[in-house]
Amino acid sequence: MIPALAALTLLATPPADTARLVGARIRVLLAGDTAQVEARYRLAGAGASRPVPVRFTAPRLAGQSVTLDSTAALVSGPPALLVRPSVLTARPGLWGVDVDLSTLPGGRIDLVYRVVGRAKRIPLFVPDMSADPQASPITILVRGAPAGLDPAASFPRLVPAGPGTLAARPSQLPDVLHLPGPSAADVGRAADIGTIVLVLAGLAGWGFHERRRARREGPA
Amino acid sequence: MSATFFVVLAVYAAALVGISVWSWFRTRTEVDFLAAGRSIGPVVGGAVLAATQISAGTFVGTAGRHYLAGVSFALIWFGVWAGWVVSALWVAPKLRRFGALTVPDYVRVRFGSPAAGALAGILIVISYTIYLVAQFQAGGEIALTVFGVPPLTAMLLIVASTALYTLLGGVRSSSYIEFLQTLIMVGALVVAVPVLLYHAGGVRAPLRFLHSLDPRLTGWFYRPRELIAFGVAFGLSIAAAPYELTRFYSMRDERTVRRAIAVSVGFQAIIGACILAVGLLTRALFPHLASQDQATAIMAFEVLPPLVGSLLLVAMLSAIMSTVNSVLLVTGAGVAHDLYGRFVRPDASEAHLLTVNRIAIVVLALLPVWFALQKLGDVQGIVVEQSKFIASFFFVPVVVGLNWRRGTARGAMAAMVGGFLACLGWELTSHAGLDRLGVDAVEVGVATSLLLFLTVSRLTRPAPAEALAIFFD
Repeated sequence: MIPALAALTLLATPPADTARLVGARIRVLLAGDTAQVEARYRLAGAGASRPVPVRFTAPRLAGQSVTLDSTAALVSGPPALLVRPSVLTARPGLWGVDVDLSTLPGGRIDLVYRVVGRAKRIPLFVPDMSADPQASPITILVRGAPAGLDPAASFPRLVPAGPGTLAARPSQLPDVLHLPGPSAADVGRAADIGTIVLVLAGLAGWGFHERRRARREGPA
Repeated sequence: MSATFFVVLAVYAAALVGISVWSWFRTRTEVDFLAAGRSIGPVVGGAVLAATQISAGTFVGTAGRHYLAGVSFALIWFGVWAGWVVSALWVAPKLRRFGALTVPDYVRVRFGSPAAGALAGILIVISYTIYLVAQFQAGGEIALTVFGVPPLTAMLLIVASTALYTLLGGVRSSSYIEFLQTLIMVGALVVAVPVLLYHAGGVRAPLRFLHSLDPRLTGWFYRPRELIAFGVAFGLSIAAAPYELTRFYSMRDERTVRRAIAVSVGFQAIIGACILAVGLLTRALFPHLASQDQATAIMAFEVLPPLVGSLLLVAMLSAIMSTVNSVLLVTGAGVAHDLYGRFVRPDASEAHLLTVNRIAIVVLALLPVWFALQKLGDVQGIVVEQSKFIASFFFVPVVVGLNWRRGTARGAMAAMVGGFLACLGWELTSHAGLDRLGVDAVEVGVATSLLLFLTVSRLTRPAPAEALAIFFD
């Protein structure tokens, strides 16, 4: 047994040592059909000696425009700069912002952008690096949410966090903030009920089948 | 979510204990323990086959591969279902008619050789220990991702709870628990997909996003050659998988076995389609997770409503437990029934064998925990490796052996050892970069096994006529 398991050990590939997201704080200010987003990302790297490209992506939705107001970087450790100006690129279904940092022992990147149209679904830029769910605090704060919004039905799930403010603390950074309108169907409750109905229907169906079989085979 | 999860977990655990205790009072003999008194019908049987097949490898590993690689990985299901068709046509009915308790029993009787049976038992214990590594690793990943529980703690809890219901009721309790678990899995997954689509903005928007993120997600991530190798590994191993074959023994008759396979494929088709959607939509909502194996747990915890998410998490943990349970029943029986009972204490009483079986289950459950803590690869990768080994040493003696009279004991032993070593050797050379032929280890393993089986069988004396009569007359 041990040789086979040892062989499996040999087959394993060690994980790559790459930069990672160690925290994010996103503030979304809603005003009518417009949203102002201030996103601050804390990054930690592997001490790379050459420029580190970081790509942020967000879903691009029809009927919605995004304008990048500013990007700023503050890198801890050796002095560092944004090597080239960050540019917002648009591809089918996707917005991208590419940032090059001269070094990345650890630091912070801020993005400020404006979203116009379809304010129920706000794209959030996510850097192309992974985050440890236990060690990377992520906070999303929403102000100016429409009256009648059910915070628990939103994605990620929001909770009241002070006057006029809602907050979510997901374990991973999602790339969209979905704020269903007050008239939207209660999808969560429908899903909960639907699951229970399906399970109970399955059990009832099986019980009925077994009873019929027992009745059929009983006299024989 | 956490409070809801623990309520759901408590209710599920209560159901589990209730079924186990009920089964305990109905388990008096080895046949009761290992074959549920041969009482399982097609619906429960089909759900059990699906639950045994749909393990953490599917919930965590396959969903993770869809998250990482996109749509094309779904093609492996055709290999899986081809394996079930082979099993339904040429394997399951004959094995059920034979009516043994374990797969090494079949090898021993079919080839008239206790040594061949023992060899099968040893190889089963080895390859399924690898499989358990994947299950425990998946459990550790879920516990760490969702609750921040250290993986070792989660693995030991899984071992303890699984060992409990395996020890209490054997195949009977696990069959009814797996039926309930399959219903929850299907129910929660079927409901999860619309919720994911609702938050991701429908079908078209996420697909366009994924295509721009990485065109391979909606096209070909793996080369067709690689996908064929995955499909072959899964298909050939399913057709001869001891933990699936053992389940046939617990069903009422041959007709029940065939119907159960059809029911099982139906369940798997629904679950497979949902898993594909879960992987893709989770990527659309969380494009850069630290590990693809976190995808389902993150989706259940962060996206789904609390009750559905909790049910899905419980079903995932239950899937791990049911697979661990199935594997432990097979490996425990391999040690107690096929090795200890045949070679160490042939005169042992049924009660004594049952005790040895239960001790073996505890020991064999703890061994893979250490390997799982080393994190040898992603969950699906480990499952694929294990499938390659099972296919390489077992497909030919089981599928060809059941349908070719001339197969002999020495041929079967040569096929098992040769297939296993060829697969292992090829995998190691491929990993070292020596493979330039584009041929996968499973193909080399099965081809070697087949060649050795045919050649050595032709050169050696046929199996006794009375052994063949059970399977061919």
